[in-house]
Amino acid sequence: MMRVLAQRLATSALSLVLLVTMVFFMIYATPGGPAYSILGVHASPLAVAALDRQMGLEHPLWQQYLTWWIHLLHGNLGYSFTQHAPVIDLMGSYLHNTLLLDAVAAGLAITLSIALGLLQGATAGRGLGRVIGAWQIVTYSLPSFFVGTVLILVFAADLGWLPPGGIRGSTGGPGFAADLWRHLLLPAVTLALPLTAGLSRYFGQQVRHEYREDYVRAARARGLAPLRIALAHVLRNAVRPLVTVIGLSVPALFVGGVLTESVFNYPGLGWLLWRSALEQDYPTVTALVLLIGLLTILGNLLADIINSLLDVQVRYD
Amino acid sequence: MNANPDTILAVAGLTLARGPRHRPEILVDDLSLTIQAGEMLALVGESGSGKSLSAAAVFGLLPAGVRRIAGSIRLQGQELTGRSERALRAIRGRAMGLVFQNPLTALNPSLSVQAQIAEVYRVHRQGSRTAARARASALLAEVGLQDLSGPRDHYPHQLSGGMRQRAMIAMALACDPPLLVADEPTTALDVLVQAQILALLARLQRERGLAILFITHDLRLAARTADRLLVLYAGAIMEEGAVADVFEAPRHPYTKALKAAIPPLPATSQRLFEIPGLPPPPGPPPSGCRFAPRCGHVRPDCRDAVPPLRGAPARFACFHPCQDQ
Ligand SMILES: Nc1ncnc2c1ncn2[C@@H]1O[C@H](COP(=O)(O)OP(=O)(O)OP(=O)(O)O)[C@@H](O)[C@H]1O
Ligand code: SF4
Ligand SMILES: [Mg+2]
Repeated sequence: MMRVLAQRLATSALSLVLLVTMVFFMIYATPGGPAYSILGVHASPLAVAALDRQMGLEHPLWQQYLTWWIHLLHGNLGYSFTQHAPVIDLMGSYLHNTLLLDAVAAGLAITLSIALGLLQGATAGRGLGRVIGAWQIVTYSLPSFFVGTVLILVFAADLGWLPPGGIRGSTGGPGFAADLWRHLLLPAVTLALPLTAGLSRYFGQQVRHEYREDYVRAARARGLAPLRIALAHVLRNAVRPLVTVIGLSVPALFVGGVLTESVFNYPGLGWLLWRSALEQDYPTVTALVLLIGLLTILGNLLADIINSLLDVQVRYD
Repeated sequence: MNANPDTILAVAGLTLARGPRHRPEILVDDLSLTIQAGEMLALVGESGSGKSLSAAAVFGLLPAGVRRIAGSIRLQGQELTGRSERALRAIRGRAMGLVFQNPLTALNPSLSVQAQIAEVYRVHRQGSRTAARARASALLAEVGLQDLSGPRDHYPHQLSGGMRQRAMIAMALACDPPLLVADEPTTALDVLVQAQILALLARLQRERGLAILFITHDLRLAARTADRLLVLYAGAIMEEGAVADVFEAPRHPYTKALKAAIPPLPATSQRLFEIPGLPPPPGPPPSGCRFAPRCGHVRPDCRDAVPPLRGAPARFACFHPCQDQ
């Protein structure tokens, strides 16, 4: 158990080093050099020259690489000239909002996927199983800005049930939580929809596979009811690989978040990335790429840990 | 119908088929058998002869694509065919238990064997968690797994093959059913463990007065373990009766050939005799003896009509039975 955990940690650390290194070389490979990617393409030649000196570009590459690491470890992610603030200070509230939205979307997607997957696996090859399969393909292929726009048109503009975007009218006070939920609902559904399509399809196949196992036949021969077989037997075995896949779909959440947050004007990391990219605010973009990479690595690590915890008692070693 | 109150299972005229309705392929043809309390009947036949399907039919769990086109199945005098799925669920596991060939795959790998045994009891007897757990411990001890009857959970992967099969048997007996069906329960195990499991089945049969349907392809094993034999070929009964008759003095050429194919003890790797040819694939009802293409006794009239089951006390389906061995 401890050994497995150590291995997972080592893998994550290696991924992190790789990520940081790749981003480093991407910046240094940008046309015009790193100063442009930090100051933005509209920087004056004077400012570029000053920064080049300040960054020690006359030093050899390995030294610059080392400096890059030291800055990162000190939380020095650069300065956003478009927002006039250190990048690190920018990210706090956006990160918070994104984690909130992603958690709600992931919770929604996982719950729906397990329910749909169980239904699909149990009714494979029959009417309902086919309907679910078709629904998955359609929702998987719908672009999130389209879904988001339609949801806004229907539930905000037409019916007026939910706000069209933003995050909350006021902070704190009575009704704050309810208001937050109302703002979260539409973007969370938009984000969860394609994720649910992928996860439930995968899970449905897993369930279908489990249903062919001998232990299901044996459970039937003991007179267990279908619902009990599904929940107490099949689910338990089918859900294990799902944990890994959920971990792997963390990047999909962030990537989907860019469009979804932009459509709903939801102030999260995706929205910030979108804005920064439009304004060619490279330090912020770089920091966001690093942050999203870091969160992805953490998501996978978490999935691995959960999986090995589930594995402790069971399986054929 | 069954006057004898000791008759646990009575199957009559069971016919199973697959394929289109107007041109069915017969998989099991007119199977009839009875098992009394405290008796073990061995269903013997080559692979594909319809043994597992017959067991599945008794449990009302035929695979999709296979259907019963005739026959009745009575458990303790109660007709099982035509019952609702709900009614059958209350009977499976409570009034009849099923043991499979491979205990590793037949156990849920994620649940302890104690939990799996307790579950059957809870589902059918609505007992409390503690009562079910105590029941599981008692059953595990009864099948010779005293080490597992403590409070600790044991998962299937922690057990040996023989222990797993014992646990499967305990699970099948959780509600004290009068009937146990064991489908090749020892085929996946090595010889020594095989003998232990068969001894366990024999003990349960004796101590509990259990009726056992023992399914095997191994005629010698069947003869050594069971009270009566039923030899199946291509879905149809060839010969049926007490071991003393069917095995010691087979009247049917197929039984005789099966017996001749048994390697002598100690088992040499080589078979001295093989029945030439293969069983026919499932098809429409035949017009003559199914065994004719492989039979050493075949005469022209064997192909003209299907030989009916006849004789007493042992019955056989052959026009020209062997007179002596
Ligand atoms: N699900 C199914 N659909 C169609 N045909 C089937 C199905 N299951 C079994 N059969 C056919 O029914 C026949 C009898 O199969 P069965 O499984 O009862 O054989 P068996 O005597 O148990 O053999 P084995 O010793 O290999 O287990 C075989 O010809 C097989 O091909
Ligand atoms: S009926 Fe004829 S072919 Fe069939 S087993 Fe008897 S002798 Fe052989
Ligand atoms: Mg079989």
